[in-house]
Amino acid sequence: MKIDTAYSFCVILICAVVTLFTRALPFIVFSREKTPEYIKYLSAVLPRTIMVILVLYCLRGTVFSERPYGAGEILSCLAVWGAHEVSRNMYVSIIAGTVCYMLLTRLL
Amino acid sequence: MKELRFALKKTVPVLFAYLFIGISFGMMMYTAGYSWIWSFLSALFVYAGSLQIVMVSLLKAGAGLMTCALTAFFINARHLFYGIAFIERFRAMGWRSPYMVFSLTDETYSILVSADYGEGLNRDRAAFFIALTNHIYWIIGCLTGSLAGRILPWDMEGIEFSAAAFFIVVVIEQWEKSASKLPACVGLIVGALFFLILGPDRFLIPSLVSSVLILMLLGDRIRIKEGMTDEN
Repeated sequence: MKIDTAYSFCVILICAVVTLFTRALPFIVFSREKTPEYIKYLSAVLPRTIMVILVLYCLRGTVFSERPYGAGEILSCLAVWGAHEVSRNMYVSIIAGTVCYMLLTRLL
Repeated sequence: MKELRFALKKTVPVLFAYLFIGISFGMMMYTAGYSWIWSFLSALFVYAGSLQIVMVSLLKAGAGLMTCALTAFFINARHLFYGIAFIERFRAMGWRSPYMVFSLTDETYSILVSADYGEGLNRDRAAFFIALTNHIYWIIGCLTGSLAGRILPWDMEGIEFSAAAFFIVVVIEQWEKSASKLPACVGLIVGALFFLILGPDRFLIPSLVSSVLILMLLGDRIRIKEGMTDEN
């Protein structure tokens, strides 16, 4: 397939600039010397909220409407949780959950 | 270089997810007729997993530049909320600060908000190495997919779950460490609610916006529970 170099370059450039914009905007908006009190508060608590939403975002492809009704994802999440309660070791928990997921998506 | 060693240890959970997603992206680029240099440039300058994968479809379809810009914005709009946690932290990082802002992906964000640096480490240098190491994994993944995707025989489908598993571990550890469980509960309830109402493709941004508003409303309760004082 023949690619259009100038066009492709523009698309990548736009994606890069827009991505940087979304990451930089908070720093631009709150660039003044004194950080507002509510930003300090949010910086302490918002990550805990975002991490939960990020888990949901990661699993958004789960299909609940047909067999196996998201069982692979749900069981694998429980496997991460269970493994973490037992092992208290991040690496063990991640490997346990991922192996569980890879097996279940092939078996179910 | 104990900071680099620390970063290498902290970024292991991201390694597999980035290699796998990067390889998928590289293979898609290869199939679409793009040589490794394009994958390399994307990995280096765009550095956003889900957007890069969508970008391949945009390139293949010859989508208009405005469409590309809007798509990129909406896919990455969640990043608007990440910087809030690091306004002061990154500002204090001097020459490293622009790179820290540029490289604030989901995965780097989650390591940085959960990392316990302990004593005797230069925190700024450690955070910088965490960001840089993840970026390098991503570049290696994208290049590998482009150059060798065709000859990789293994079926690694599903290994991307390691990113979700890592996020779950972070949630568990934050839950146990924090006095107020409200922030996590808000995320779960609001996220699940919008997921049910708006569906998987549109729930993210409304969830984030509503969560910020609810956290602001619950501010006094959470502050008391967390023992946050009002001065400075």
